[in-house]
Amino acid sequence: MANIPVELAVPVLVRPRQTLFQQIIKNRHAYLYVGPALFIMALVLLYPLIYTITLSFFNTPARSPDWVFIGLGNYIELFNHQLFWLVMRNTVSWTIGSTISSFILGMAAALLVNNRLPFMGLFKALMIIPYVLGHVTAAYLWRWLMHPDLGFISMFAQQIGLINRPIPFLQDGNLVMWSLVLVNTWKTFPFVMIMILAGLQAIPQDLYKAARVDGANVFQQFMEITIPQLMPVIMVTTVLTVIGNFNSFTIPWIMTGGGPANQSEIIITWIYGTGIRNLRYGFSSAISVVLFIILGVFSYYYVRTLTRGSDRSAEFEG
Amino acid sequence: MAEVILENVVKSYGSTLAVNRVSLTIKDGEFVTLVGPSGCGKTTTLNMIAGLIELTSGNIKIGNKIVNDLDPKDRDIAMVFQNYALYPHKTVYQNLEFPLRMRGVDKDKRHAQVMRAAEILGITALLDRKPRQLSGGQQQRVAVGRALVRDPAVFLMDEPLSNLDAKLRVHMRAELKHLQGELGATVVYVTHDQLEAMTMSDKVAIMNHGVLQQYGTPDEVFHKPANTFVAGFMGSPPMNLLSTMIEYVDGDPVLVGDGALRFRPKTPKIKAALQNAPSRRVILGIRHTAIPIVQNGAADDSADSVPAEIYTVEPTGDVTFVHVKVGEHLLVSSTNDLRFTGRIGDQVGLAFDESHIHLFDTETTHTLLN
Repeated sequence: MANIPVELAVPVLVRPRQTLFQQIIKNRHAYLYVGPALFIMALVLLYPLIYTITLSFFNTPARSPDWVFIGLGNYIELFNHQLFWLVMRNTVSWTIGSTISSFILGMAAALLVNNRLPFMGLFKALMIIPYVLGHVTAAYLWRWLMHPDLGFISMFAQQIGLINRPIPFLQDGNLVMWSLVLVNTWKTFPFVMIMILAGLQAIPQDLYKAARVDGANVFQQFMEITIPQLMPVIMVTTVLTVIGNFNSFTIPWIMTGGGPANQSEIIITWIYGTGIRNLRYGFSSAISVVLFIILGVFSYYYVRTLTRGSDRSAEFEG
Repeated sequence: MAEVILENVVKSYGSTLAVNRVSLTIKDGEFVTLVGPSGCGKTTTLNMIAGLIELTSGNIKIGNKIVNDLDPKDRDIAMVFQNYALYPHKTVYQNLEFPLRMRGVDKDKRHAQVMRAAEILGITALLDRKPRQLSGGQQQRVAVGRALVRDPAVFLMDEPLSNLDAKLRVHMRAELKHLQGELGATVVYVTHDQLEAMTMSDKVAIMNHGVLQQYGTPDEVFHKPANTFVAGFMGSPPMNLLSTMIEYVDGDPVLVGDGALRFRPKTPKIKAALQNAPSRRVILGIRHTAIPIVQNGAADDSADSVPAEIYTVEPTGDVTFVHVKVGEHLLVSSTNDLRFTGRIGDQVGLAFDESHIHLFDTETTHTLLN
């Protein structure tokens, strides 16, 4: 004890930890105010969640109103299902593929637009078009563009002699997933562009001036200043894009409906197909729960990134 | 270290002349301040020396080499920015190391130079911290450290103290000046604060509307202002500038202003200046120290004392500024008399100290003395 510095020897005051119930009692007036909002959130979020989890333990025959409890039966069937790994692989290709490509394109577009070149305002407006176009519109548009017989892409490519036969973008099992990724990239990259552009414009110009004086060339300025300064934006945008892609339904459903032969089936379209089309609610709920867990992990990182950001700004202000 | 020469430097943005034919010679080891109100072109001039802004015409030489077309990194300069521009994601050590790393200095040498700079500035204990964990004064020191770490020929400083609180500013002012003296560095320093310019510089360059108004030692620009702008800009409170007419009484020139303002010079130099003035309208300039208040002077003093009415009184502790009205003229006078009891509306006398009088041409605003 004798050698411990004074400030360490002083006992740290630890407030006894209160239980949630004690906290609610103590702050009952505050809870009263947020009560209605909490109630509505519970109704629209918690109730469906619990209902889905419960449902996933039951078999729900289509022709009877009865629920038959089968324990983990749906989950066992899911993991042994012939489509499970195909759907997982497709979902990962779809999500990772779309995220990476829309990131590269969005970043490039943002860096381009951020330059003070002529016509950049017009260019920026044009690039936002895919983002403001409705998902259904975009999906139908591209379904027509990619049509092997009537589609513009194949017809144009044949006319200029680039190819001899039409490209079956959505009919070829090896091509279909990448065709969908292409469309999704086109639809998503403007979002990335806007986020990165906002990030770029928030970087103080003095940092670049200082770096120029310090001897950094353009590439070094990008690596030493732009990228580190953009990192929080990049993190948030990545997580948001991953979650959005994981959950996206409209483009694959309208363009292929999961076909041909489930080659473009992803988790979301599979859930819809088994639940709404085949009326297997229990099984479809089990898939939903698995998706919920996967997205839960990403959301955790998303929230953590965000809160870490706010901690940092608090520290800065202090 | 090196000499910096500006020859007829011009920067125009479209039809706007931001910097208009500025010529300056900054000698090796000199501390030169560019001072002026905002928008006067001082920062643009500094950025042109740094190479961050291109010249429209003219030449800039650093160490006898024309650097007009050189990149900032090839000019052998270092810069300290107003908001420090420290790299927020790098530690203090990495910030200090950055200019060396970008120039390919090897690791051991980098370490030695960073540690030397850190020691000079007393920031060795902060090397592992990020800029956001530092106080304003500490950030300022790191910014200076990043500039001096690689021994540049010239230091360029863009209002480096303006983000600090008043007390710290006075402290850092002394510290920077001391450091410059120790290193024998050539410094070009930009500020809008005339007090900073007066206290720190070997020479002051006063700019307005992109034009260099006067370039000289603090003593010169204060005591021999070249025009009314310099007279009004340097010194706080600013010099009193009064519009007057030259009249002749018994063949001697007398300056007559509004109200009871009459001033009859005795010195031959001033008399001659007035007799040679191109127009009868001249501006009389006089600092508050040269028109001391003579309390109740109106009643008993000689004809030289000008009667005035107290407009307001500003005690500052050691000096009391007394704003007085003479006719329509509003002047600032001062007194060191701690027992001064003048109140608003009191009649007092002003004694003009003729040895500290300035005269300017009304048209050109240039000085009539010299």
